[in-house]
Amino acid sequence: MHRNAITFFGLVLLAALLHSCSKDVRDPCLQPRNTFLAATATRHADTGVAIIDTALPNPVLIPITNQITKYIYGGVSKVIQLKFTLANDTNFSQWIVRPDSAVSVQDTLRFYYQRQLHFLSNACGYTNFYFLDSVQTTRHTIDSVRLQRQDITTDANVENLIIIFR
Amino acid sequence: MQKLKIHNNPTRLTSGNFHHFLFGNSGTWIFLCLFFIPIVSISQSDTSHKKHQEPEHFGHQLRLDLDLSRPVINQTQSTHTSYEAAIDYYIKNEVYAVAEGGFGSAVYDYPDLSYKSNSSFFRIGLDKTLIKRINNNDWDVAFMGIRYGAAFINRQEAKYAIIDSVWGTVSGIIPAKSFVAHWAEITGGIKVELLKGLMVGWNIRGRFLLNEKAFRELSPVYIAGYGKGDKTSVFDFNFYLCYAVRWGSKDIKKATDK
Repeated sequence: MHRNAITFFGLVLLAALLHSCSKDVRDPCLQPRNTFLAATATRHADTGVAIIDTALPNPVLIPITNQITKYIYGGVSKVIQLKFTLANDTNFSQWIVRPDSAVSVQDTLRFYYQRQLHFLSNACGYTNFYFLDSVQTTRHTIDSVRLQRQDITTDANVENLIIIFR
Repeated sequence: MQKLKIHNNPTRLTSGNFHHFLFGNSGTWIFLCLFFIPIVSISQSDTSHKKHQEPEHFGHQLRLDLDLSRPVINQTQSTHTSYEAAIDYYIKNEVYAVAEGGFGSAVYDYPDLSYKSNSSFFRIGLDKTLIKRINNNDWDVAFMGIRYGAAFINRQEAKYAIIDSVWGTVSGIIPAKSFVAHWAEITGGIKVELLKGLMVGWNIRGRFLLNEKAFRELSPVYIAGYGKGDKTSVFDFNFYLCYAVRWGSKDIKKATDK
Protein backbone atom coordinates (compact mmCIF):
# COMPACT_ATOMS: atom_id res chain seq x y z
CA MET A 1 0.00 0.00 0.00
CA HIS A 2 1.30 3.42 -0.89
CA ARG A 3 2.58 5.00 2.31
CA ASN A 4 2.15 8.57 1.05
CA ALA A 5 -1.54 7.93 0.56
CA ILE A 6 -1.78 6.55 4.07
CA THR A 7 -0.02 9.61 5.46
CA PHE A 8 -2.33 11.92 3.52
CA PHE A 9 -5.50 10.26 4.69
CA GLY A 10 -4.11 10.15 8.21
CA LEU A 11 -3.65 13.90 8.14
CA VAL A 12 -7.17 14.37 6.84
CA LEU A 13 -8.42 12.26 9.70
CA LEU A 14 -6.40 14.24 12.22
CA ALA A 15 -7.86 17.47 10.85
CA ALA A 16 -11.35 16.01 11.18
CA LEU A 17 -10.57 14.97 14.73
CA LEU A 18 -9.40 18.45 15.68
CA HIS A 19 -12.44 19.98 13.97
CA SER A 20 -14.72 17.69 15.90
CA CYS A 21 -13.01 18.53 19.16
CA SER A 22 -13.55 22.23 18.63
CA LYS A 23 -17.35 21.88 18.24
CA ASP A 24 -18.36 21.67 21.87
CA VAL A 25 -21.11 24.28 21.53
CA ARG A 26 -24.87 24.01 21.34
CA ASP A 27 -26.31 23.78 17.86
CA PRO A 28 -28.09 26.99 16.86
CA CYS A 29 -31.87 26.99 16.84
CA LEU A 30 -32.79 27.32 13.17
CA GLN A 31 -36.56 27.20 13.40
CA PRO A 32 -39.14 29.60 14.84
CA ARG A 33 -39.80 29.13 18.53
CA ASN A 34 -42.64 31.60 19.06
CA THR A 35 -46.29 30.86 18.43
CA PHE A 36 -48.59 33.72 17.48
CA LEU A 37 -52.29 34.05 16.98
CA ALA A 38 -52.39 36.04 13.75
CA ALA A 39 -55.39 38.29 13.10
CA THR A 40 -56.20 40.42 10.06
CA ALA A 41 -57.84 43.82 10.52
CA THR A 42 -60.79 44.40 8.18
CA ARG A 43 -63.85 46.61 7.71
CA HIS A 44 -67.14 46.11 5.98
CA ALA A 45 -67.18 47.47 2.46
CA ASP A 46 -69.39 50.52 1.89
CA THR A 47 -71.80 48.41 -0.09
CA GLY A 48 -72.77 44.77 0.26
CA VAL A 49 -71.56 42.29 2.87
CA ALA A 50 -67.96 42.03 1.70
CA ILE A 51 -65.09 42.85 4.03
CA ILE A 52 -61.85 44.49 3.00
CA ASP A 53 -58.44 44.55 4.64
CA THR A 54 -57.90 47.74 6.58
CA ALA A 55 -54.65 49.25 7.74
CA LEU A 56 -55.07 50.45 11.31
CA PRO A 57 -53.64 53.96 11.69
CA ASN A 58 -51.55 53.36 14.81
CA PRO A 59 -52.74 50.30 16.74
CA VAL A 60 -51.92 49.52 20.34
CA LEU A 61 -52.14 45.97 21.75
CA ILE A 62 -51.91 45.51 25.49
CA PRO A 63 -51.78 42.04 27.09
CA ILE A 64 -53.68 41.77 30.36
CA THR A 65 -51.43 39.64 32.51
CA ASN A 66 -51.83 38.61 36.12
CA GLN A 67 -49.26 41.19 37.03
CA ILE A 68 -48.94 44.73 35.81
CA THR A 69 -49.12 45.38 32.08
CA LYS A 70 -45.68 44.65 30.76
CA TYR A 71 -45.72 45.34 27.08
CA ILE A 72 -47.47 47.76 24.82
CA TYR A 73 -47.12 47.21 21.12
CA GLY A 74 -47.45 50.47 19.32
CA GLY A 75 -45.68 53.10 17.34
CA VAL A 76 -46.14 51.32 14.01
CA SER A 77 -48.65 52.86 11.65
CA LYS A 78 -50.81 51.23 8.98
CA VAL A 79 -50.83 47.72 10.39
CA ILE A 80 -53.06 45.10 8.79
CA GLN A 81 -51.96 41.92 10.56
CA LEU A 82 -51.99 41.83 14.35
CA LYS A 83 -50.09 39.15 16.28
CA PHE A 84 -51.12 38.05 19.76
CA THR A 85 -49.13 35.77 22.02
CA LEU A 86 -50.99 33.45 24.36
CA ALA A 87 -50.35 32.63 28.01
CA ASN A 88 -48.40 29.42 28.63
CA ASP A 89 -49.91 28.56 32.01
CA THR A 90 -53.64 29.22 31.55
CA ASN A 91 -56.24 28.31 28.95
CA PHE A 92 -57.29 31.85 28.15
CA SER A 93 -55.60 35.16 27.41
CA GLN A 94 -56.92 38.73 27.26
CA TRP A 95 -55.71 41.57 25.10
CA ILE A 96 -56.78 45.18 24.86
CA VAL A 97 -56.99 46.40 21.27
CA ARG A 98 -56.95 50.10 20.46
CA PRO A 99 -57.03 50.68 16.68
CA ASP A 100 -55.62 54.20 16.96
CA SER A 101 -53.43 55.33 19.83
CA ALA A 102 -54.75 58.85 19.37
CA VAL A 103 -58.29 57.75 20.21
CA SER A 104 -59.02 56.32 23.63
CA VAL A 105 -61.73 53.92 22.44
CA GLN A 106 -60.68 50.30 22.85
CA ASP A 107 -61.94 46.73 23.02
CA THR A 108 -61.00 43.64 24.99
CA LEU A 109 -60.43 40.34 23.20
CA ARG A 110 -60.54 37.14 25.21
CA PHE A 111 -59.14 33.96 23.66
CA TYR A 112 -60.05 30.50 24.99
CA TYR A 113 -57.82 27.64 23.89
CA GLN A 114 -56.18 24.30 24.68
CA ARG A 115 -52.42 24.05 25.11
CA GLN A 116 -50.24 21.29 23.74
CA LEU A 117 -46.59 21.01 24.74
CA HIS A 118 -44.49 20.56 21.63
CA PHE A 119 -40.85 19.48 21.33
CA LEU A 120 -39.04 21.47 18.66
CA SER A 121 -35.48 20.15 18.92
CA ASN A 122 -32.61 19.92 21.37
CA ALA A 123 -31.35 23.22 20.04
CA CYS A 124 -34.70 25.02 20.36
CA GLY A 125 -36.25 23.25 23.35
CA TYR A 126 -40.01 23.19 23.90
CA THR A 127 -42.83 25.52 22.99
CA ASN A 128 -46.61 25.43 23.27
CA PHE A 129 -48.93 24.90 20.35
CA TYR A 130 -52.56 25.93 20.85
CA PHE A 131 -56.00 24.97 19.67
CA LEU A 132 -58.34 27.93 19.72
CA ASP A 133 -61.79 27.05 21.08
CA SER A 134 -63.55 30.41 21.11
CA VAL A 135 -63.11 34.18 21.09
CA GLN A 136 -65.05 36.82 23.02
CA THR A 137 -64.91 40.54 22.34
CA THR A 138 -66.41 43.79 23.49
CA ARG A 139 -67.97 45.86 20.71
CA HIS A 140 -66.81 49.46 20.93
CA THR A 141 -64.58 49.59 17.87
CA ILE A 142 -64.88 45.95 16.86
CA ASP A 143 -67.99 44.88 14.99
CA SER A 144 -67.35 41.13 15.03
CA VAL A 145 -64.71 38.43 14.90
CA ARG A 146 -64.43 35.47 12.53
CA LEU A 147 -62.27 32.49 13.32
CA GLN A 148 -60.41 31.21 10.27
CA ARG A 149 -58.14 28.52 11.63
CA GLN A 150 -58.02 27.00 15.10
CA ASP A 151 -54.54 25.52 15.29
CA ILE A 152 -51.84 27.96 16.35
CA THR A 153 -48.30 26.77 15.66
CA THR A 154 -44.99 28.27 14.69
CA ASP A 155 -46.20 28.50 11.09
CA ALA A 156 -46.07 32.21 10.32
CA ASN A 157 -48.15 31.91 7.15
CA VAL A 158 -51.43 31.19 8.88
CA GLU A 159 -54.33 33.56 9.47
CA ASN A 160 -56.22 32.48 12.57
CA LEU A 161 -58.66 35.33 12.97
CA ILE A 162 -60.39 38.15 11.09
CA ILE A 163 -61.29 41.17 13.20
CA ILE A 164 -63.93 43.32 11.57
CA PHE A 165 -63.74 46.88 12.85
CA ARG A 166 -66.59 49.35 12.67
CA MET B 1 -69.55 40.65 25.29
CA GLN B 2 -70.17 38.93 21.98
CA LYS B 3 -69.31 35.24 22.26
CA LEU B 4 -68.27 33.31 19.20
CA LYS B 5 -68.32 29.58 19.87
CA ILE B 6 -66.38 27.44 17.47
CA HIS B 7 -67.80 24.11 16.39
CA ASN B 8 -65.35 23.09 13.74
CA ASN B 9 -63.91 19.60 13.84
CA PRO B 10 -60.66 19.66 15.80
CA THR B 11 -57.54 19.17 13.77
CA ARG B 12 -54.34 17.60 14.96
CA LEU B 13 -51.45 19.89 15.61
CA THR B 14 -48.41 18.97 13.61
CA SER B 15 -45.05 20.61 13.09
CA GLY B 16 -43.27 20.84 9.77
CA ASN B 17 -41.51 17.62 8.96
CA PHE B 18 -39.98 18.34 5.61
CA HIS B 19 -36.68 16.78 6.63
CA HIS B 20 -38.44 13.46 7.10
CA PHE B 21 -39.37 13.60 3.43
CA LEU B 22 -35.76 14.24 2.51
CA PHE B 23 -34.22 11.67 4.81
CA GLY B 24 -37.13 9.39 5.59
CA ASN B 25 -36.72 5.63 5.52
CA SER B 26 -37.35 5.40 1.78
CA GLY B 27 -34.82 8.14 1.05
CA THR B 28 -32.26 6.43 3.22
CA TRP B 29 -32.66 3.12 1.44
CA ILE B 30 -32.46 4.71 -1.98
CA PHE B 31 -29.24 6.40 -0.93
CA LEU B 32 -27.86 3.15 0.46
CA CYS B 33 -28.72 1.27 -2.73
CA LEU B 34 -27.13 3.90 -4.94
CA PHE B 35 -24.03 3.81 -2.80
CA PHE B 36 -23.69 0.07 -2.64
CA ILE B 37 -24.44 -0.94 -6.21
CA PRO B 38 -21.05 0.27 -7.49
CA ILE B 39 -19.26 -1.32 -4.53
CA VAL B 40 -20.92 -4.68 -5.08
CA SER B 41 -20.14 -4.46 -8.79
CA ILE B 42 -16.49 -3.75 -8.08
CA SER B 43 -16.34 -6.59 -5.60
CA GLN B 44 -17.93 -9.06 -7.99
CA SER B 45 -15.71 -8.13 -10.90
CA ASP B 46 -12.75 -8.23 -8.54
CA THR B 47 -13.67 -11.75 -7.39
CA SER B 48 -14.24 -13.12 -10.89
CA HIS B 49 -10.97 -11.59 -12.03
CA LYS B 50 -9.17 -13.19 -9.11
CA LYS B 51 -10.53 -16.65 -9.91
CA HIS B 52 -8.75 -16.62 -13.21
CA GLN B 53 -5.52 -14.83 -12.39
CA GLU B 54 -4.81 -14.58 -8.67
CA PRO B 55 -4.30 -17.39 -6.17
CA GLU B 56 -6.36 -17.13 -3.00
CA HIS B 57 -4.37 -16.44 0.13
CA PHE B 58 -5.20 -18.31 3.28
CA GLY B 59 -4.64 -17.93 6.97
CA HIS B 60 -6.74 -16.94 9.93
CA GLN B 61 -6.70 -13.64 11.73
CA LEU B 62 -8.62 -12.46 14.76
CA ARG B 63 -8.09 -8.79 15.46
CA LEU B 64 -9.03 -6.64 18.45
CA ASP B 65 -9.44 -2.95 17.67
CA LEU B 66 -9.43 -0.23 20.31
CA ASP B 67 -10.73 3.19 19.27
CA LEU B 68 -8.17 5.75 20.41
CA SER B 69 -10.07 8.76 19.09
CA ARG B 70 -12.83 8.51 21.72
CA PRO B 71 -10.68 9.20 24.81
CA VAL B 72 -9.16 12.18 22.99
CA ILE B 73 -12.59 13.57 22.08
CA ASN B 74 -13.88 12.87 25.59
CA GLN B 75 -11.22 15.15 26.99
CA THR B 76 -12.32 18.04 24.83
CA GLN B 77 -16.12 17.60 24.99
CA SER B 78 -18.04 18.49 28.11
CA THR B 79 -21.40 17.26 26.79
CA HIS B 80 -20.72 13.59 26.14
CA THR B 81 -18.29 10.72 26.56
CA SER B 82 -18.04 7.43 24.73
CA TYR B 83 -15.77 4.41 24.33
CA GLU B 84 -15.62 1.95 21.47
CA ALA B 85 -13.88 -1.29 20.59
CA ALA B 86 -14.19 -3.79 17.77
CA ILE B 87 -13.27 -7.33 16.94
CA ASP B 88 -13.02 -8.75 13.43
CA TYR B 89 -12.25 -12.11 11.91
CA TYR B 90 -10.98 -12.91 8.41
CA ILE B 91 -13.48 -15.25 6.80
CA LYS B 92 -12.16 -15.79 3.25
CA ASN B 93 -12.09 -14.10 -0.15
CA GLU B 94 -10.94 -10.81 1.42
CA VAL B 95 -14.03 -10.60 3.61
CA TYR B 96 -13.98 -9.88 7.34
CA ALA B 97 -16.77 -10.37 9.85
CA VAL B 98 -16.88 -7.44 12.25
CA ALA B 99 -18.51 -6.88 15.63
CA GLU B 100 -18.22 -3.55 17.41
CA GLY B 101 -19.48 -2.30 20.73
CA GLY B 102 -19.21 0.41 23.32
CA PHE B 103 -20.99 2.71 25.69
CA GLY B 104 -21.30 6.39 26.49
CA SER B 105 -23.19 9.12 28.30
CA ALA B 106 -24.34 12.65 27.68
CA VAL B 107 -25.20 15.70 29.76
CA TYR B 108 -27.37 18.39 28.22
CA ASP B 109 -27.56 21.39 30.50
CA TYR B 110 -29.08 24.64 29.30
CA PRO B 111 -31.57 27.04 30.94
CA ASP B 112 -34.44 25.95 28.70
CA LEU B 113 -33.65 22.22 28.51
CA SER B 114 -31.56 19.89 30.64
CA TYR B 115 -31.26 16.12 31.03
CA LYS B 116 -28.77 13.26 31.26
CA SER B 117 -28.66 10.09 29.20
CA ASN B 118 -26.53 6.99 28.86
CA SER B 119 -26.39 4.40 26.12
CA SER B 120 -24.67 1.23 24.99
CA PHE B 121 -24.49 -0.17 21.50
CA PHE B 122 -23.33 -2.91 19.19
CA ARG B 123 -22.70 -3.01 15.46
CA ILE B 124 -22.25 -6.07 13.28
CA GLY B 125 -21.32 -6.30 9.64
CA LEU B 126 -18.81 -7.19 6.98
CA ASP B 127 -15.71 -5.54 5.55
CA LYS B 128 -14.47 -6.24 2.04
CA THR B 129 -10.90 -5.34 1.20
CA LEU B 130 -10.33 -3.33 -1.95
CA ILE B 131 -6.69 -4.32 -2.43
CA LYS B 132 -5.72 -7.95 -2.83
CA ARG B 133 -3.32 -9.57 -0.41
CA ILE B 134 0.14 -10.12 -1.81
CA ASN B 135 0.78 -13.26 0.22
CA ASN B 136 -0.42 -15.13 3.30
CA ASN B 137 1.46 -12.79 5.61
CA ASP B 138 0.08 -9.57 4.11
CA TRP B 139 -2.70 -8.27 6.34
CA ASP B 140 -2.66 -4.56 5.39
CA VAL B 141 -6.11 -3.62 4.22
CA ALA B 142 -8.03 -0.85 2.55
CA PHE B 143 -11.67 -1.74 2.86
CA MET B 144 -15.29 -0.81 2.60
CA GLY B 145 -17.98 -2.31 4.74
CA ILE B 146 -21.55 -2.32 5.88
CA ARG B 147 -22.98 -2.43 9.38
CA TYR B 148 -26.21 -2.79 11.23
CA GLY B 149 -26.15 -0.93 14.52
CA ALA B 150 -28.43 -0.84 17.55
CA ALA B 151 -28.18 1.26 20.68
CA PHE B 152 -30.06 1.09 23.96
CA ILE B 153 -30.58 4.52 25.46
CA ASN B 154 -31.87 5.60 28.84
CA ARG B 155 -32.77 9.25 29.15
CA GLN B 156 -33.39 10.55 32.64
CA GLU B 157 -36.23 12.96 33.30
CA ALA B 158 -35.75 16.25 31.52
CA LYS B 159 -36.45 19.76 32.79
CA TYR B 160 -37.72 22.30 30.32
CA ALA B 161 -38.60 25.97 30.46
CA ILE B 162 -40.59 28.01 27.96
CA ILE B 163 -39.24 31.50 28.25
CA ASP B 164 -41.84 34.19 27.53
CA SER B 165 -41.17 37.83 28.28
CA VAL B 166 -44.88 38.75 28.18
CA TRP B 167 -46.69 35.98 30.05
CA GLY B 168 -43.80 34.70 32.15
CA THR B 169 -41.58 31.65 32.04
CA VAL B 170 -43.23 28.25 32.45
CA SER B 171 -41.22 25.17 33.41
CA GLY B 172 -41.98 21.48 33.69
CA ILE B 173 -40.61 17.97 33.69
CA ILE B 174 -40.65 15.37 30.94
CA PRO B 175 -40.62 11.81 32.34
CA ALA B 176 -37.63 9.53 31.81
CA LYS B 177 -37.75 7.31 28.76
CA SER B 178 -35.88 4.39 27.20
CA PHE B 179 -35.22 4.22 23.48
CA VAL B 180 -33.79 1.68 21.06
CA ALA B 181 -32.09 3.10 17.99
CA HIS B 182 -31.50 1.10 14.80
CA TRP B 183 -29.31 2.30 12.01
CA ALA B 184 -27.54 1.17 8.85
CA GLU B 185 -24.01 2.18 8.20
CA ILE B 186 -21.48 2.28 5.42
CA THR B 187 -17.83 2.54 6.28
CA GLY B 188 -14.43 2.60 4.68
CA GLY B 189 -10.86 2.88 5.86
CA ILE B 190 -7.45 1.35 6.10
CA LYS B 191 -5.44 -0.72 8.56
CA VAL B 192 -1.70 -1.19 8.29
CA GLU B 193 0.72 -3.32 10.30
CA LEU B 194 3.42 -1.39 12.15
CA LEU B 195 4.94 -4.29 14.09
CA LYS B 196 4.17 -7.97 13.95
CA GLY B 197 0.54 -8.25 15.04
CA LEU B 198 0.27 -4.57 15.97
CA MET B 199 -1.75 -2.47 13.53
CA VAL B 200 -3.19 1.03 13.28
CA GLY B 201 -6.03 2.23 11.09
CA TRP B 202 -9.01 4.46 10.69
CA ASN B 203 -12.59 4.30 9.50
CA ILE B 204 -14.93 6.94 8.21
CA ARG B 205 -18.59 6.16 8.58
CA GLY B 206 -21.94 7.31 7.25
CA ARG B 207 -24.92 6.34 9.38
CA PHE B 208 -28.62 6.40 8.59
CA LEU B 209 -31.19 6.12 11.33
CA LEU B 210 -33.86 3.56 10.54
CA ASN B 211 -36.44 4.32 13.24
CA GLU B 212 -36.49 8.08 13.30
CA LYS B 213 -40.14 8.19 14.42
CA ALA B 214 -39.09 6.94 17.85
CA PHE B 215 -36.99 10.04 18.34
CA ARG B 216 -39.45 12.82 17.62
CA GLU B 217 -40.24 13.42 21.28
CA LEU B 218 -37.11 14.73 23.01
CA SER B 219 -34.50 12.68 21.24
CA PRO B 220 -31.31 12.15 23.23
CA VAL B 221 -28.66 14.60 22.14
CA TYR B 222 -25.98 11.91 21.89
CA ILE B 223 -26.22 8.18 21.23
CA ALA B 224 -23.05 6.17 21.73
CA GLY B 225 -22.13 4.36 18.54
CA TYR B 226 -24.38 6.60 16.43
CA GLY B 227 -23.82 10.27 17.24
CA LYS B 228 -26.34 13.07 17.45
CA GLY B 229 -29.70 11.58 18.29
CA ASP B 230 -31.72 14.29 16.58
CA LYS B 231 -30.08 13.74 13.19
CA THR B 232 -31.32 11.11 10.76
CA SER B 233 -27.91 10.84 9.09
CA VAL B 234 -24.51 11.44 10.62
CA PHE B 235 -20.88 11.04 9.70
CA ASP B 236 -18.22 9.83 12.07
CA PHE B 237 -14.75 8.38 12.19
CA ASN B 238 -12.60 6.11 14.36
CA PHE B 239 -8.88 5.81 14.82
CA TYR B 240 -7.92 2.29 15.86
CA LEU B 241 -5.00 0.62 17.53
CA CYS B 242 -5.29 -3.08 16.74
CA TYR B 243 -3.73 -6.31 17.91
CA ALA B 244 -4.01 -9.33 15.62
CA VAL B 245 -3.71 -13.01 16.44
CA ARG B 246 -2.96 -15.23 13.41
CA TRP B 247 -2.77 -18.90 12.71
CA GLY B 248 -2.90 -21.27 9.79
CA SER B 249 -0.74 -19.28 7.35
CA LYS B 250 2.51 -21.17 8.03
CA ASP B 251 0.89 -24.62 7.80
CA ILE B 252 -0.54 -23.78 4.44
CA LYS B 253 2.76 -22.36 3.31
CA LYS B 254 4.55 -25.57 4.36
CA ALA B 255 1.95 -27.68 2.59
CA THR B 256 2.37 -25.56 -0.52
CA ASP B 257 6.18 -25.91 -0.35
CA LYS B 258 5.92 -29.71 -0.16
